[in-house]
Amino acid sequence: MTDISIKLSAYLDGELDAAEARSLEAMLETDPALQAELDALIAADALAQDQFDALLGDPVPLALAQKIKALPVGTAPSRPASRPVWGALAAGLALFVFGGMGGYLLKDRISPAGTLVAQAGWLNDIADYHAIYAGQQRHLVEVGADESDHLKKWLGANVGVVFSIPDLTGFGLTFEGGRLLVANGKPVGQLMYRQADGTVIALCLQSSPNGDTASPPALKQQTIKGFDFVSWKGNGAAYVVVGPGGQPDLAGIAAQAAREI
Amino acid sequence: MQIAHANWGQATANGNEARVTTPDQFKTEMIGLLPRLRRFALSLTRSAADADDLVQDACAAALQKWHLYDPGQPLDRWMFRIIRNLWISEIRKRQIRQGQGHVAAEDATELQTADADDALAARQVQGKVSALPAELSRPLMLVCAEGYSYLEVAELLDIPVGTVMSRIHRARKLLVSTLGQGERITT
Repeated sequence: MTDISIKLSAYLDGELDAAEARSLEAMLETDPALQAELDALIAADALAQDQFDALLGDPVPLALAQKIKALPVGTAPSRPASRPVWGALAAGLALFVFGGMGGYLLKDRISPAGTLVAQAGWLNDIADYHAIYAGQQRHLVEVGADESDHLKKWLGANVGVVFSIPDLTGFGLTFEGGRLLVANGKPVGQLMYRQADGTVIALCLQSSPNGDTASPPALKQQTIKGFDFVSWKGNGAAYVVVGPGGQPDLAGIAAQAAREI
Repeated sequence: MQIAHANWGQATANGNEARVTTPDQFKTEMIGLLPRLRRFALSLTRSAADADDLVQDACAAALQKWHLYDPGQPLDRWMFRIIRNLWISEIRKRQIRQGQGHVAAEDATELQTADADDALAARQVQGKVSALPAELSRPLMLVCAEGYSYLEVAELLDIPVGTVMSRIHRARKLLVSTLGQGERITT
């Protein structure tokens, strides 16, 4: 492998200094074969990038997220008493950390994980999924909005619920596409919307034998694991809209979704 | 004209500069990183099950020492280093169990494909990065997908910068050769 060949890759990665880059660019202008080699490397790079990025779309096992959620958190070791100033600072830090930990543990005591799961049912799993996927930029969804018809058929068949994709643009929400998830051991369809500032709102649906046909359905608001939920039931399915804690007008979004889905 | 990499600065774009100040925030940030942590772990282990075990162990280790994390630094970089260190430790344990003695750090990440032959690999790659020899796909992934510089890759993987450069190039050349796009492949 020649030095000039390796330099092409370094050039592609922005790793050559300015003088080396200028020198290589001059060679590229007069050497079509060298330019062809660079073009091939760029094509390979694009292929690699697509394939590496595709790995981010692989579903994260819910069990892994839940195990990590349940992991214990360590505390800062206290400083030696022989250093009064640092010792005092360390004590303050330890108190701060312990206070934070105390609050964290107290929260769990008041609302133990087992109780939360029992109360929240599938919403508990939805919260974990939202924590994973709401931060995704390029891989927010498995099937994009440009394949909405396919998405409805695919999710509908897997979840066992016939649905329409609500238009929530009136709330500044752009439909991005959807994913198939599993919550409480049953398939869930997840439709993802994004606001201009990047905030992700998800609308999830799961078949439910207890669905009622009240119109309009009763909306239930909850906050689970820092996310706000508005859920309802109807036509053999359970639905929920989930967004970040404090999300304005989530109930209005849910009411619109309930009318259109 | 200098070509800038498309994913340059991805860590910032992904919001990893967020200030993590509480265990809850730390955990939430960590869970949000899971897809990328799993991808990096997979590049080391080449086994999905091992990758998930490695990520879980790394998260447990990170949570035990979360107070040592500097919130001014990207959390993903910190987590990648923990994952890599744990993997080296695991490889060493496996080697010792197999009676092969002590393994140097710079060798530990190379054990899976130390005898990879490029010509053989070229026939197997067929345009897929997942089929590249691990020691080639690892630096390519970090540069191509994570936006690492060669120096950062060298530091993370404990290999010389020149080795990073040549491996990334060899990885691209293998992909090119299987795509039939190589006009001037010199080795």
